[in-house]
Amino acid sequence: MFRATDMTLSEVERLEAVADDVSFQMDEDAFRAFYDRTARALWNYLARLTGDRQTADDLLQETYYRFLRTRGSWDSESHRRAYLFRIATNLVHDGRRRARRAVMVALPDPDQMGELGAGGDLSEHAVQRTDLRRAMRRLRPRERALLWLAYAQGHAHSEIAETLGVKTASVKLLLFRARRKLAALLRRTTGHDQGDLS
Amino acid sequence: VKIVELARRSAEREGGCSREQDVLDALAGERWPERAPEELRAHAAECAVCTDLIAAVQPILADRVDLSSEGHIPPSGAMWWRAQMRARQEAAREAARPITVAHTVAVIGALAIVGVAIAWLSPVMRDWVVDSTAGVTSSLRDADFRGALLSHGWLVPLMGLVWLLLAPLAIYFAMAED
Repeated sequence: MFRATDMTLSEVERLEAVADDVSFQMDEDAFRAFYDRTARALWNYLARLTGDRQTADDLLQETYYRFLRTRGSWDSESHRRAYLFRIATNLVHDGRRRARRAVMVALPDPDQMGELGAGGDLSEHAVQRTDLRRAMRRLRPRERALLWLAYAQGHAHSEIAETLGVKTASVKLLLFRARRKLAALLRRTTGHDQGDLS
Repeated sequence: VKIVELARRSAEREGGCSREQDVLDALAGERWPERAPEELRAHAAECAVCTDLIAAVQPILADRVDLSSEGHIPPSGAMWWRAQMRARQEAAREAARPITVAHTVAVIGALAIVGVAIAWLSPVMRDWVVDSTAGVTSSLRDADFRGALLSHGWLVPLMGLVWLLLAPLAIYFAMAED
């Protein structure tokens, strides 16, 4: 209904002024340095949480955009990083809720799709990766995030607590339980495979 | 056996083992199992907590290495540029919203007024309106309200014109942030 040609010159000037006035919480140099330090780790996190490369690509952009638009100040790099990962975690959860409502948007099954690099390679390494993906999918989203942040990213318990919105004191126990569950799932998967082969 | 079992249960209750960090360091430093100390390996073989730790963390670390060579991470400059463009578009859309609302209201108001004016000025429509509202307006007849309105037929279009000019301006200024 509304077109640019409907506007007067002063309205156009006003809109241009508003658009030029866009400001982010950090300047370009600071952002680029922060992005270079965190983008790979964030993509890996998103890829493992969603199990889908395309979704990880999309969420990576959305996460950084929302991060830039936030008016916040952080005491340290660790807080800033925790906030970034928190945005990413929330986006993944939102996406999962939407996917649950719209049944046709189901997460891809790694067994069928061979996504994220398996590429049909049936070497022992590829089988291990498939086992891990399968086991990770059976974990709760929070357990998946906990394990990845703690062991793949090496985040401190305080940072994990900040990212996932849990108490720092709880992280150790939650991690312990998630680890035990994953180990049991992996053992079961391996046991199944061995049973199939025998 | 009892002591080992008790120690294992105690460690599980607390959610860890005192050698957990040593095992983790060995795993993260890719020293496990070949280059890990013999006594640590012996401990891990006995400790349920460390056994689970190794079973869970080793594949995660391997997966992280594999993932690091996958996926295309856009360059930081491109990411910044896209964010700028998107923020500008959103800001412009946000700023244009009051104008859009004002235009919409003005168009609807103008159409309504034109419709009323046409209906009022058309003799057929006027008779129909007068007839159909005769019952309702009978009480007003004494005050000659309808007659006054009919005798000043130019009043309605004039009021419409004023509304047409002032309403959009009023709405625009009311909704403008500045």
